[in-house]
Amino acid sequence: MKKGQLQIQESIFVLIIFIVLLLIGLIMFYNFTISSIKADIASYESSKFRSLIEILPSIPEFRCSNLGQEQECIDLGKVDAFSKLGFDYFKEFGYRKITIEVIYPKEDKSYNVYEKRPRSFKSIKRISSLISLYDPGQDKYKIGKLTVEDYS
Amino acid sequence: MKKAQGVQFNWIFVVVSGAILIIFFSGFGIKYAELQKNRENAEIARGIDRIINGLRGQEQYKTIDINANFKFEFNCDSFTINDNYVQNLNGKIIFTQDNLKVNKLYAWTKEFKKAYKIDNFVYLVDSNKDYYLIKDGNEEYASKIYNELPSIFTNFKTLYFDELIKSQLGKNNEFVFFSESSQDQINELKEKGDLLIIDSINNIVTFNKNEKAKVLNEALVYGAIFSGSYNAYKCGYDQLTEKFSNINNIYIKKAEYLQSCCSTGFCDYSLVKSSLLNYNIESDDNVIKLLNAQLYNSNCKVVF
Repeated sequence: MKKGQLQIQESIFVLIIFIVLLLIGLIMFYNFTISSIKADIASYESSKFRSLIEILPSIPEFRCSNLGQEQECIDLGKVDAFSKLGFDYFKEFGYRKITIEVIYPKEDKSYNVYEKRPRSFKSIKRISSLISLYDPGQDKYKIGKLTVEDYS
Repeated sequence: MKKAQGVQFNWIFVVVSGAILIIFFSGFGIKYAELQKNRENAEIARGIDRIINGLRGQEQYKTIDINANFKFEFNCDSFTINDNYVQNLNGKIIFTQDNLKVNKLYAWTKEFKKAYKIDNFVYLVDSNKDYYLIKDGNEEYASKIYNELPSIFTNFKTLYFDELIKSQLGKNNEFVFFSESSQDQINELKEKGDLLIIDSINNIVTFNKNEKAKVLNEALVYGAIFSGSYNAYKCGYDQLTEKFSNINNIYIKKAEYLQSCCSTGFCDYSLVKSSLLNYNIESDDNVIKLLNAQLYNSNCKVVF
C-alpha cells in the first residue's frame, strides 16, 4: 500500500512541476509577445524619424518657391522667419531638434529651426543630410547640412 | 467513514484545482487573442499612416487594401482602428468621413494653393460608398469634378437626377448637387444617403442638417465630398486655416528681411508686405500675385 501511495504521490508531484513549468513558459511567451509588439512600434517610430530628413526639405514652410512654383531647395529667408516666429509645431515634429548649417561657401552660420526637449530622455538619435540652400539676401545658392535629433 | 471522507476530499481537490487550471488557461487564451488583435490593429494603423506619409510628397493616388474588414474612426488629429489602436496624424491635413467600416480605402493627395502653396491634402475615400455627382443645373462643373478624379475611384458616377431616380441604389450613398436643388429632390434622397450641395459661384457647401462651410477651390470641394459631414470637413478646414496663417507670417517676415537687406529705388517690398498683412485664406489672389510678379519683372528677388 505504502509503495502504491508513494508512486501516486510521485506522479502528482511530476504533474504539478510540469504544470508550473508550463505556466512559467506561457507567461514568458506572453511577455515576449508584448516586447515584440513594443519593438515593432519603436522600429516604426524610428523609421518615421529617419524619413523626416527627406520630408523636411519639401514642406511649404521651408521650400523655395519662385512666382508660386516650387523649387528643389530650402529658402534660408523662410527658415530664418520660421525660427524667429516660434510656432508651435510639436504636433508635426515632436521632441526633436532641427538645425541647418551652411557648409559651402564656408560661413559660420547655422539656424536653430526647431527644438523641443522632454524633461528627461535616455538617448539622442541624430541623422543628417546635405541639402541645397538658397539665400534670398545674397541671391546665392549654397550647400547646407540638415540635422535632425530625436530625444527618446 | 474517514476513508470515504478522504475520497470525497480528493474529489473536491481535483475539481477545484482543475477549475483553477482551466480558468488560467482560458484566461491566457483570451488575453493572447486580445494581444494578437491589438497587434493586427497596430499593423493596420501603421500601414495606413505609412501610405499617407508616402503620398504627401506629391499628387498621387493609391489603394489601401487590407484583407479583413476594419473600423476606421477619424478623430481630426488622429485615427482609431477597431476602437482600439490610436495613430497620430502629426499635423497632416486629412479629409475623410468620421466613421468607416471597410476593407479597402482609396487614398489621394491634392495640392492646395493660394498665391503660394500651403499643403497637400490627403483624401481617404470609402471604397464601399457610392458617390453620385448630379449634373442638373451645372453640368460643366459636375463633369469637371468627375473628370479630375483618379481612375481607381470606380465608385463615382455622374448623371442627371432623373437617371439617378431610375437607377438601383445601394445602402451606402452620397449625393452631390452642384446647383440649388428643389425640396422634392432633397426629400427623395434624404433617407437614401448623405446629401451635399456645392454652390461653385459663392464657394459654399451645404451638408446634411443645413450646415454650411466655405469651399474655396476644387481641392476643398473634394474635401467636402470625401468628408461627407460638416464636422469632418471643419477639422481639415481649420487645420488649413492655421497652416495658411503660419506660412503667410513666414512670407511677411521674409518680406521684412528683403526690405531691410535688399530694397533699392526699384525693389520696394512694402507693398507686398502690406498686402500680405491683409491677406487671408478667403482673399482674392490676383493682386498679391501681381505685386510679387512686378518684383520679378523689376529684377528684384521675389517674396514667394
